[in-house]
Amino acid sequence: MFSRKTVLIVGLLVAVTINLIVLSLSSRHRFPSEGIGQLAVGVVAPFQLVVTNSCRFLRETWQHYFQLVSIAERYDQLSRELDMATAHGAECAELRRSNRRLRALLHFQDAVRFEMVAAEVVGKDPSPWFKTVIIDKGYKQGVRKGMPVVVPQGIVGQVIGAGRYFAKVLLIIDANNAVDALVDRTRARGVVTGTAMGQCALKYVLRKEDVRVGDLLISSGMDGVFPKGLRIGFVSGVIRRNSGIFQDVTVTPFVNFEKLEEVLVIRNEPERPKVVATQ
Amino acid sequence: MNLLFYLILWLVLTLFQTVLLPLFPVFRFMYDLQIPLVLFLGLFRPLREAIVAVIVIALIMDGLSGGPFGIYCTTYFWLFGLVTGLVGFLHVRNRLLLPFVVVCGVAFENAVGWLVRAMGTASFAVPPGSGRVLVVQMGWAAVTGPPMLLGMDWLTRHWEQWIALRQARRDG
Repeated sequence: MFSRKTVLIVGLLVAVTINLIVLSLSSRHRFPSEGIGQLAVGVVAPFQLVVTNSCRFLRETWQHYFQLVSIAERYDQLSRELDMATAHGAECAELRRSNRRLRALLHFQDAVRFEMVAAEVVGKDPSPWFKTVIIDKGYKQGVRKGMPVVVPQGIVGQVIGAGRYFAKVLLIIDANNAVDALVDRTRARGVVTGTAMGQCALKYVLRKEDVRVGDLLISSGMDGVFPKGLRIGFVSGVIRRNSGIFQDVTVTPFVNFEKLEEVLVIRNEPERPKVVATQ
Repeated sequence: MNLLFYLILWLVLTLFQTVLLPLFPVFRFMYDLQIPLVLFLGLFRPLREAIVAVIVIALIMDGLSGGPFGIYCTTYFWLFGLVTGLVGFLHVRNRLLLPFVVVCGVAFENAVGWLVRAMGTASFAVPPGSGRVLVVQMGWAAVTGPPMLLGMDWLTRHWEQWIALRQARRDG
């Protein structure tokens, strides 16, 4: 009834249409299918772990046995830095005590103690367009989807899928991630999302807000994922256009995602501070 | 047995792509190493065994990636279908054309990525810096793609010879 060519063309059009519909639905539902995702991670991650550990062993062997010449100088430098850090630590301890006293006076709760689990990064996303990493902890170790992931330098991302022994973490430099943030100096609020080049942008900051290059960005705690006060990055560029109600703010994250090796997963949910009404 | 061989190839390439290459900043914008594998399956292997491998590889890559589900399935299925269809009309197996084929494959994957991003953000604007990433990826594809294709062809032929030899010894 229909020629082979017609059937082929119609078939192709139907296939393209279905494909576009599926992609459109999938891109709006932010995260990929959990079943296949867990299976894929479960299959590949053990091999990634073996290769990562092998590379780490070789790198440490090289650093320990072939760089002895610089070790003595590095030792002296580290000793000086340790002395400075110890003094700074004592100062921070005193500030922490003062902070606790003042919060008690204002009837605030104490800062939440985080229950964390340390994990190693064993693999990265195969695509250059999406920024995820795989860590060697899963729900067996208490890691769940939606948990924030941090390092001492700042926020890394959040868990988007957890298998038995491995989990997938979406980094803050990915365009699909969003962190509700505050400018520490002025308390201007915005949302930090990733950009194509591995940087971040602070979006939805009104033009009237005072944001300057060098300003520190911290998590606001209002997104229900990241606890309040965690460092994100610093403002590296501000553009206020003549039109529009928002300003374009570029953010450089504190975390070096190129050299991410160990991370911390925060297991307890962030609490919002209880504000007691004053008389 | 050939499917197992293709999956081993895929696993080695995945480990390179996700663990080893990120250690070196020069490979920061490397293209998807599975593209040459998909092209190899479409250009040099029988349809029946190649399509199963492409389906399995695409599904696992979609599960492994942080992008929307279906992006790798879309890229690999259409790429596989295109090269399989073109083999009958053009001399795409010609060694001189292989760099062009791999570069087109990488460009196609980036186009799918841009389309998916546009669907998710409702914005067709090209993200800043994407042009540079694409050019670097196409450069790497032109240089490393053809050796990978020919290398996989060589390995597969030796694998099949070894299997045939084993079978002949078992039978005879």
